[in-house]
Amino acid sequence: MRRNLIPSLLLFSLILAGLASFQSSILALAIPLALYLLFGLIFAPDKVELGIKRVLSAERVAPNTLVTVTLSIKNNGSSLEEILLEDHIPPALSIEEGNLIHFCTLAPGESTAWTYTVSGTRGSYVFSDIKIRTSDHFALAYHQEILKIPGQLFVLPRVPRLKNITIRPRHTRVYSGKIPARVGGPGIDFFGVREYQTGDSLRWINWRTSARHQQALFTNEFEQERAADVGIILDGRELSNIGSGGHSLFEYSVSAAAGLADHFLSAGNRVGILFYGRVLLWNAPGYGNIQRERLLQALARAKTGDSQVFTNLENLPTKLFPPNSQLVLVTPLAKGDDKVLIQLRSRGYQIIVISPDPISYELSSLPDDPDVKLAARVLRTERNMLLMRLKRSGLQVVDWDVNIPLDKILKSRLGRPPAWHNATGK
Amino acid sequence: MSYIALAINLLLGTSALAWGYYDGGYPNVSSAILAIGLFWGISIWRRWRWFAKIGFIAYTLSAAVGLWLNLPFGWMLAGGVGGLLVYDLSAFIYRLRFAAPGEDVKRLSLAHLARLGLLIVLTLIFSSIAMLWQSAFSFEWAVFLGLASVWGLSLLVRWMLRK
Repeated sequence: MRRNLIPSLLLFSLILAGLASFQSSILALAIPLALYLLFGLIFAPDKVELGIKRVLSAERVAPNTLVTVTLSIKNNGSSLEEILLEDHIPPALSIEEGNLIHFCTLAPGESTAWTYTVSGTRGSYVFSDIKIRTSDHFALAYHQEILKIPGQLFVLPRVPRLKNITIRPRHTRVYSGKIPARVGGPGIDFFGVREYQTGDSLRWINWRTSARHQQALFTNEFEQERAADVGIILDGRELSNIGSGGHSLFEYSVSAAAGLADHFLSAGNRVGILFYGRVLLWNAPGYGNIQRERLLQALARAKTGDSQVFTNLENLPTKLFPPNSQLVLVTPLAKGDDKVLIQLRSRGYQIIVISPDPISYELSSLPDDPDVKLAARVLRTERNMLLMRLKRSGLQVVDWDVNIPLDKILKSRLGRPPAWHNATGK
Repeated sequence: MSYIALAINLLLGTSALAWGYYDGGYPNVSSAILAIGLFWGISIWRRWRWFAKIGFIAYTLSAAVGLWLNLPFGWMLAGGVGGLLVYDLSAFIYRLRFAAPGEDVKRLSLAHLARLGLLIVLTLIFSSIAMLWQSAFSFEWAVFLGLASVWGLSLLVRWMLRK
């Protein structure tokens, strides 16, 4: 309700009452009200010309880190008796200190600033509107407008430091890296022996083999180490991710994907991430720190969701990934996923499945009840069978109880190539 | 500063109205006004902003009724002005909560109280003139004022719609 409505109504009621009763004293009682409204009319604000700037103490932070937002305002127009500024922040951010509303007065050319502190969980937050309301001292007449002052805050997922992941894709790139490429050349690990060629270092000559042949020298060959293409697929389907107590298993998946991306990029590989959830979000493969930042920002935005098309993994766009490259799926796994993954494996992809265990995760928030235990046992059996099928088909599967740090699990499961890999070379 | 002004105005406005009614032989109304004043004070303390409107209307109408009952003009005017000032200051104090403590609060309070001071002075001047002119209030003047207030009302409505 407008602030001038009640004084106006009372003013005219008094005037009418005074005129009706022929009492000038009642009319005189209307004088303060008339003056009060007149002041509002006279001192009504003119056009507002404000220069506003929003500065965030950090634009990319870890979850629940405090970020100070400073708003600087400069009055480039006429005097503003009262200004009420209200900043609008995304609802998922919480205010830790200060206030979103600021009340002040500004003379021409004067400037002021105010700060507040926010924090939030993983996400991408866009700041936009600032509501400005200028008025006279009695706030009877006001001018209101909304200015768009853009700003963005990325609350990036936590990135666990992963050290022990050995991958052996069949296809590597031409650039040097850390992955044995099954091709002889300069390297560290012994690969084979071949006849000496001009230009070979004398230090590489295999004297023992050369001694067995007349008029021929043989040199050692080493296995080349190259960079590879790694595609990380993050499962964001609602059906496979469960949430409890304000937390979600998906947060662990996102954190794992961030750690994996960081690890593979650090090793000089080309890494891309496909988010498979309500929609498909594809971050094309790339190298280095810029790609790391791009992937972290994409992971900050990732949210679970449902889609008719992407209910199962059948519509996984495998053409995005180079043939015979390394795929890493971070998924709690759902019924029927095994068929698609086995098909992928048969097409030559090397596949690692990191599967946060939804059963133990959900069990931790459920009562210790015989029925719950029985249900968990049935589900556990089903899950074990699913994982077994995947393992038998040549996929590397990591069943991850999220209460244990991922690095610890990966060290024991992916610290060295599987035995069958060395045996078959596939 | 604003809180002190608010408390003084509430006290003076309530006392003036209550004394005016008590002196005129209406002790029950006087008690009711004191009760409203007390409740208004509590509502300010408890930040019940809605009561300011009720208190303002109650004080203004009480002053008008008092004048209709021929109670002393001075007490009634003081009560009415007190109600207006408390209504204004309670809204101002609410806005002041969002000001940065220190310089901003001081500047805003001083400017606001200066504007209210000007309002009081002008009210006293115009009210004195109006009371001196009281004897000349005739039917012709009433018709003129009636037309003037209709014109004023239309201006105000236009202003409010435009804003």
